[in-house]
Amino acid sequence: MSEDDDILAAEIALGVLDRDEALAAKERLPSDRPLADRVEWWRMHFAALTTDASAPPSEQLWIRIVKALPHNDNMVAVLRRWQAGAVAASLVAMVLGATLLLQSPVPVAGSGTVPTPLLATLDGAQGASATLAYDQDSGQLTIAPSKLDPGKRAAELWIIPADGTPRSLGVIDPHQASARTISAARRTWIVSGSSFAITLEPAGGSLSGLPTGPVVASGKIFGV
Amino acid sequence: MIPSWVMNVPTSNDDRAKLIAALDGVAGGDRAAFHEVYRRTSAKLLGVCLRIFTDRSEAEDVLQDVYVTIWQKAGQFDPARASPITWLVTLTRNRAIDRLRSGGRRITTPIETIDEPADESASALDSLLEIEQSHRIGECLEELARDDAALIRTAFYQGATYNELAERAAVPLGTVKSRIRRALIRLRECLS
Repeated sequence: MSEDDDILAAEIALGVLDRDEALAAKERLPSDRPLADRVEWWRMHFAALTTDASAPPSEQLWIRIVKALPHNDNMVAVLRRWQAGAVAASLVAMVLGATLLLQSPVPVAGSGTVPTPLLATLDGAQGASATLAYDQDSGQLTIAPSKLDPGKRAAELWIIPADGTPRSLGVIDPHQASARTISAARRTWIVSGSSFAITLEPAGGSLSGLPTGPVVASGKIFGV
Repeated sequence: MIPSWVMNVPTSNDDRAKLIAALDGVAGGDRAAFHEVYRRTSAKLLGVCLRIFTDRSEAEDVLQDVYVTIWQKAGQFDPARASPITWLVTLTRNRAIDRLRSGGRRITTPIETIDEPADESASALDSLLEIEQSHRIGECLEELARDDAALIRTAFYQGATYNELAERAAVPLGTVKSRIRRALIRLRECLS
């Protein structure tokens, strides 16, 4: 690290560079790890200049924030990637899916632990939402949709485990709460950290085994 | 038998790991994790906003924007490259300064009045920042010439660039640059 670069790192962190200089410097960061690390070092120290004050926000702030939240688009992006490569991917998925379906579910680790229900809140940009509860003992999944209007299409529920591959859990009733028992092979995917998504598909559900239509709601599973 | 002092070791690593895990949850759209991030950081981040905006309702408006941004961008946080609290404080400071400047407000506070805070004593956030007591930036700033420390503070709290600092201090640009660079070199020696 040259002396000039080290001072440059401090200047980036402090924010004293003019706009053009700052842009040019920041363009280097993704490919220049030593410089990026030095910027981080300076940021950490400058951050300590703000730690003298601490003040709990008013009670209403959290409510204001929740109301202002846009839809979290991460899951939509995952599904779009799949849809983009759907034709090629569907072949892979057919093979992969067949393999996975033959595997028996992984037993719950640690005897004596009491499985807790898993919950997920799904929401979407157009106002559709759903609350899902999953009982790990019985494999029963309860789905309570709200403002879900698929029109003439079918609302299909997907589980997206850590590998990022969506697996269909079937078409759901968009207008009222319903419950279903998840097949043994699919239970391994319904764990804390996996995500649910609802997409609009042709009547009867996606033919390819992968989502093809728009994501209307999605959300991550959490334990209670 | 575990000696009691082992049990009383500060939990900064644990706090840090929990915050990283919560941010990871936010990146996946987990609202419970988002609330956890809020619970752990909102008082400190409001403190950051209050360093830049003295008006409390304005500071809370900034903080609202900050958390909406965290919700949208938590996936960009890389625990291999940054500490979670540094990432959050940097995001908050940048957001507050954007707002300060986008209001079309001309920043007129004289540099001399940007003085050191009343209390730079250790806080919970410092343990997250993993800064050793003896190497704290507040103390290092006090070792600088008073005018140089004021320049650094003005740059940091108000987002003032070299050009703006030169204009406001009514000194040539080259003078401001060399003073700040000299101050940064001395800060680095003190912090290292």
